[in-house]
Amino acid sequence: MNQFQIMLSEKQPQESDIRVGVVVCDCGARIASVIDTEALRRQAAEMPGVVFTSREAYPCTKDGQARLLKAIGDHQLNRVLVAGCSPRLIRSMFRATAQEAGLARSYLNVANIREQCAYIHTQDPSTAFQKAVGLLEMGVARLGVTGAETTRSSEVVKSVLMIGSDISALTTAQDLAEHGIRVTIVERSSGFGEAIPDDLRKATRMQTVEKGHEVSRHPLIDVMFNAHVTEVSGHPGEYAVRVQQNDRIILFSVGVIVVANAAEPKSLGSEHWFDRSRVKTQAEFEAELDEASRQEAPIDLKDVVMIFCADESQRTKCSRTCCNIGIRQALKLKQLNPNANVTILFREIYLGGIGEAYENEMIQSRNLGVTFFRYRKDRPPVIGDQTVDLLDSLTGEALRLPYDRVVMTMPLVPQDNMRQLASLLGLPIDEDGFLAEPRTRLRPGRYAEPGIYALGSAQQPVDTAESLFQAYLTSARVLRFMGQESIKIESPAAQISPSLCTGCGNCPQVCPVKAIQLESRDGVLSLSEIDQLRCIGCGNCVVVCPVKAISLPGWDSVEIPVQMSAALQSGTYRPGAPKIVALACEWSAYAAADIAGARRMTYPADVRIIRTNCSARFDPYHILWAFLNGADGVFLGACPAGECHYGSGNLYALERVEVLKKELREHGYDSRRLHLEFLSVDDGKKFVQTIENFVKKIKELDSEVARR
Amino acid sequence: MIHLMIDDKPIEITEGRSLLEACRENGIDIPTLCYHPALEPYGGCRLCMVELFQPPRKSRLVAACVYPCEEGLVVKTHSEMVLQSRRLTVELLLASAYNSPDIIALADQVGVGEVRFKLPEENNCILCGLCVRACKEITNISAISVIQRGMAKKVSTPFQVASSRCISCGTCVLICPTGAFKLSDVIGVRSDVPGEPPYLRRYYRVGSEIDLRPNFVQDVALLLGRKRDTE
Repeated sequence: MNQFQIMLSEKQPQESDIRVGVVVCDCGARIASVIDTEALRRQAAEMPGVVFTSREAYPCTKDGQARLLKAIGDHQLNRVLVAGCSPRLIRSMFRATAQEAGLARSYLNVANIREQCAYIHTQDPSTAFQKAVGLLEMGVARLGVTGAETTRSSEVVKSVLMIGSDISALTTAQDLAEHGIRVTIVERSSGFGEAIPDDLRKATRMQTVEKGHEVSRHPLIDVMFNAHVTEVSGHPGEYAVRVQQNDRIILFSVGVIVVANAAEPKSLGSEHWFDRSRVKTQAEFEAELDEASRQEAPIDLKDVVMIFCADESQRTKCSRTCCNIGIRQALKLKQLNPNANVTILFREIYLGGIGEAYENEMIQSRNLGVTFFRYRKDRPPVIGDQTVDLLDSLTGEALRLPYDRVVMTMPLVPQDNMRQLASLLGLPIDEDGFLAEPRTRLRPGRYAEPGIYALGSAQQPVDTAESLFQAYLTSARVLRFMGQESIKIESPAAQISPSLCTGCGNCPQVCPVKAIQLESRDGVLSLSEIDQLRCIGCGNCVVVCPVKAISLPGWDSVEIPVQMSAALQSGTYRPGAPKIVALACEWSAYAAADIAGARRMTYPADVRIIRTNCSARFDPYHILWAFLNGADGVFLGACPAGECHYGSGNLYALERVEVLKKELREHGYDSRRLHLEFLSVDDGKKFVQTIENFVKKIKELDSEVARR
Repeated sequence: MIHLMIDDKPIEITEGRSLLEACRENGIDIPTLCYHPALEPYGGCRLCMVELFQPPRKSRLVAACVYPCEEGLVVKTHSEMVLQSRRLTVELLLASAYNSPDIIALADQVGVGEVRFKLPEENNCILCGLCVRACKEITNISAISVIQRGMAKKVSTPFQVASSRCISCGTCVLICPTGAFKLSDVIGVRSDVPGEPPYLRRYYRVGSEIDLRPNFVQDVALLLGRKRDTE
């Protein structure tokens, strides 16, 4: 494990020699018409650590970026602050420039003096200027302490784990092995085709067994029978798998996991009153027919009623195979006993397969005198003691059919271990227990995680032809995934300092992607380990760590307080106005503030917005820090419930705020000075309204305090 | 380096830059709606038209954002021909986006007088394609694209169903110059998307462990117990 390479950026300057360059943008006249950018540049030149400043009409042009590149070299800059528009639009562009100059990506930051300042305070240039200075100070202060974000990459292990061995799995395995990829097939039963019910799908079963023997001869394919997967860890491209075969435990690593469990027909169960000797499932009837044909005796049945879509679940979801099987059984019965009255009650008939083989069977059955009745979805046939009652949807006539045998179709359901497997792999399942394919329409063949694929009957009932199509599709996708040399991830990732970790076990509990694991070391303490490739950088673990052993470069425990201090101590708030600090999740409040700015909505200037990755990063200590440093109010903006980009960070934030409010009350602070608001990403109007209300409330509280 | 004349001003610029970039570098203001420095130029809004003189050819209009600088070009950015073209473009934009403050400001800037056309239905989308390109180039998602042709042309998701590809980052909404684009157009009816159950399921969860889902097994047991009592 942990064969990932952490590619730390080449240059990591010491804190003592921080050299910040500030580029102030006019944005044509959009910023310059409100803010005196030249004065702003002069102010910036006096900030600590700043060794280079420039002011440009458009630093975002290709020439502007070339000049920035040159300035970084000429002045040996190791941090750059661009004061311009929203970082959401231009940060990645400038960061690419910084990277080209040899700086770590996070060493370039953007101070948003357009959407958060020039656009909203057009009527009040002096306030706008003061706020811009404040924003620049925050940006420079942050750059002074920021850590280098790492780019992680992992090689893709060129092997595949195939769970299950139905025909689609075998086809995929063969296809992959022919392209030089090692495939390990893990099968629960003791041989090929064992999982396929013998009675019903003899052809499929024979096909599977044949294919199985062919496939198992391939040198790159290992087959493990009587085996099941007990543990999966790791990340796309490199999964560590633990397989139990009989009493043996086998460990190996694979790059991709394909789930190809076969489905099986549902059993009739016992919640009915049927006379089971006369009411049978398709599988039971098949056995009966087999027995009769073996003895070469005419089967003694006069009235046979077959009910298609007999199970309630089949009326909303087609099981794909039962119509074919039913019609074949009707034909067979007619051959064994030409005098039998065969009636088929159907809702819709689905004849799958390639070519017209199944359709010809249906025509043949009509010619032999099989009667078809269609019933309505809301009026299913009712099985009585001697008769089946039915409303023929074609004539609207109520019919009563006598029977001595009723044959019911049963839907295909996933095998009993599907739930266990899904939780093992962390995959969603749908209401029928199949693996839910998240984007059937737009991205067929894809699965939730890039390294995991579901195939054939693992995600829905399919017939053989369909599952073969899926098999080729999946092998193409897997080959494409395998084709990339390595996986590169550029999001911030939490890092743990092993010397500080006490092994309390908080962080693995809150991690939304299960990137953190407790590992025992020296038999004394269990210490956490963070999978750098799984981590999505939400910062929840950083907040819950009681000893602050976890850091998140780019959004660290120093960076946010430093920005608060810079804002609160700079004296750029309007005199007499309340000082508000806002922590804003970049997927909700920050975006909403940007949109408010872009739509030129005005809101009070005494708010300094600090951007965080997720609301899970709202650290109670940071909020306290803001209050202790003189903030009059702290505004928090998070995503609405269910919309968090990192699982449920917003709910954690809510919980923490509730607790913190109680603490604040107990320690003599007014808890109304802390406000958490749930905002959608385009809620510019709501953002403005809530900020206005919040500022008004803080003002009221202040005057209340003054009166006392 | 390339030398050219823009508005009678000799200009020197690196090879491979567009006329618009050359103008921006030299402080010449050209209005544009579809250009963004973080995106590939598109040439969609036709506001940045400039007049190009290449004798012996007749002078002609080109879109500055996509026309590359060439040695010895003579360009006029505010000639009568250019202004006339710009006025007509803005007038046509105003015909559908007649309430958009940015378009109205632009009309004032280029001096559009009377608006001769007006669509019965207001449509603020000017099809500049910024949202589509931002989704593709800034966020690497490509959840939206321009669909249909002619008058019916609009920005939408594939098949016009709610996108499950969208990460709702809001970049499209932010970059829209007229405020026409709504995030609800993309993710609108999330409930139609098969990926919804985990979203819903999340509502039941508080923290990491506590599950507020009703306990069906217990309910049934309770029900059965009550039934037995009444019998």
